[in-house]
Amino acid sequence: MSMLELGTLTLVVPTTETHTSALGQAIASVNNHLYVSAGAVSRPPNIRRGVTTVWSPPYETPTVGPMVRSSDLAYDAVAAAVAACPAARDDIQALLHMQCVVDQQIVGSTCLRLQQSFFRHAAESVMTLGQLGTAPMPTALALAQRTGLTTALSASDKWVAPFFRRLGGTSFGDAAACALVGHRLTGAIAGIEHVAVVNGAPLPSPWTAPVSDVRSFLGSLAIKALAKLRLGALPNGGRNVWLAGDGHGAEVADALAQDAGLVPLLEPDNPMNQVHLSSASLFAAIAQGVAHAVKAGDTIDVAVWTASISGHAGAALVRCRPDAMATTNGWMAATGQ
Amino acid sequence: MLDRAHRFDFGIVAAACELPGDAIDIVDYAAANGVDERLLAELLANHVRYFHDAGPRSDADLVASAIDAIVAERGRGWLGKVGYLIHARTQPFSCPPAPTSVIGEICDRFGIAPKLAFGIEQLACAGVVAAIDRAMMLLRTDPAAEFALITTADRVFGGAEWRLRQNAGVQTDAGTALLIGREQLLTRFGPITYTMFPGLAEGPSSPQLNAMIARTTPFQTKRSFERLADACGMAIGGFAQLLPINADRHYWVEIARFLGVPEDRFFLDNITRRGHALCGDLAINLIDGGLPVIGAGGTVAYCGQSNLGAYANIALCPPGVETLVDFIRPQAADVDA
Repeated sequence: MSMLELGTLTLVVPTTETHTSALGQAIASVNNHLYVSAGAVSRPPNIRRGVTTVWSPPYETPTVGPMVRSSDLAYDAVAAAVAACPAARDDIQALLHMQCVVDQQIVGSTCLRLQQSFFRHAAESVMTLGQLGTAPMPTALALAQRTGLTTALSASDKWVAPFFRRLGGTSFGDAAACALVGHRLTGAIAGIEHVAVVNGAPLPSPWTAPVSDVRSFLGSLAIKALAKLRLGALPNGGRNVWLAGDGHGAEVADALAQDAGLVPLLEPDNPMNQVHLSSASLFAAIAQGVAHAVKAGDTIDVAVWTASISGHAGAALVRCRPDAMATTNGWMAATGQ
Repeated sequence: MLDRAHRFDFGIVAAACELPGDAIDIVDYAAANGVDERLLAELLANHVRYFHDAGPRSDADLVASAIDAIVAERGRGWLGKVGYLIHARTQPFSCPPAPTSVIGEICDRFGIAPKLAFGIEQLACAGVVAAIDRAMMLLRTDPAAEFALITTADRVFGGAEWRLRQNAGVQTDAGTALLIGREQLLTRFGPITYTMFPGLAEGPSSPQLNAMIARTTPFQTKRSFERLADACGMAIGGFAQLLPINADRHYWVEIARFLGVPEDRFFLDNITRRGHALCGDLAINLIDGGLPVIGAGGTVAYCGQSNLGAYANIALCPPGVETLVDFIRPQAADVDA
């Protein structure tokens, strides 16, 4: 039996746009608090008031319009999950929302909005997990497993200036995701067999670090996380385990596959390796695994990983099932939940 | 109400707070910042007087000073025994810039290597109680872990229009640390209750919501205390002291009347002396008011109040109170009287 079953999974990935500024979307009157004196330690230190663009070679990443909040993206992801499997809604006992970038509305609460919209009965176990960089999902999976509660996991981010959407060679996308996980789901698209969490030291000087240093740092964190999965102890020595994870670029994906001795689900030059879906990133890696299992018509094991310059990282061994059913923007169990 | 045999296994081993610099008198602050004289008179009439300003110090700096205070008292040995680190905050910007993390900075500075570390966000001032709840769950399911560390940091961004909380409070900058364990307790945690009110998830983001929050807060707070008393199986009068957040004195006076307890059952001194430290109010009020009462054998209740419709209350008992039966017994005389 898996440590955690994973039911419906949905991804909300906006259309891709091309940018030539490394900063997130500039929205008038949003984040002005960061330019008062107290904000000097809460905004990137190299961004002064009035700076709304930092030139970057063109890059593409999923982007929403100025009126769409990260909270809206999360709402859409959870709504899609609930629509895909209405029967699961009443079984949800807890909601863990994950978010890295502050919502442009500032004072509202996405986790409480989701609770009030979808899971009013789960009032006693609702919160937003933060301060984990762009790698919150392994911690969320560990918490869901430890509480024993059937849990809705949601994640969303929208990159707004003065925060960097393109940093250290990684292009972060606006995106959201939702997955329903627990021990008592009646149908599942995947089983979480093991989760490993790494809380390491942050990358020094992340705003000015050379891309090569950032990639080396992230690769090192990811290797630590994958090592904690102890794939070599699997019956077949882990030789049949695939690899999927953050879109930090082909170089990181390729180096990691070689270091870990695993076969990547995506070829290094696959465009998905060039786009990081922020807090929703690990959901996307799991979705890739499920898609592969369905296509292969066989159960496959995938080691999924995520790593952030904040020093947080993690990995999970996911057993993806071939009978998952595709939904408009994700996957649901063939047998309902 | 909990099962009468439910054991209260955890409590606070050490508590510390960092209120940066000298206390600032709002009379001087008002003169220097052009605060309207009528507003100043109303603040003084509402017993608002002193606060602290962190200046250029970061959230991690404030937390580090609080941890340093525990190190000064207990040495450094406990740092290596922290199994879990949870950081709670209210202010959306009180953190380093995304995607970096205050937790990463704290762990790096002190060499803490927790099994899990995360921030609890978007529950406003109820977040610190949710952090205690989650810390207890993690320690309960991990007997090998000796301690959990709960930290908070909140800073005000902007001038007097943000520092002053309408006419009845001033927000202070502060960092706090609570070391949670099983032995040598200053206070033992009793029941925790959550009381949620749908419809306020967007916070004080419009005149309509501002008015609704102002109108409903006293009633919601009363309900949250009643719910905690129900969980404890006793009358609200059984609590020797009620700890508020450090603002809105007139509300607490009104709430005392609603609850049928004398006004001085609420520890209101820190509305004047300290100001509202958001998630830090729990540690600050415990140190200044709650722990002496608990040391004398009384039980204390804290209300993690928010303007998002989320309330989390906790009972704090003398260390000798180990079960709900123990909890009720010493209060019986008070209730009967």
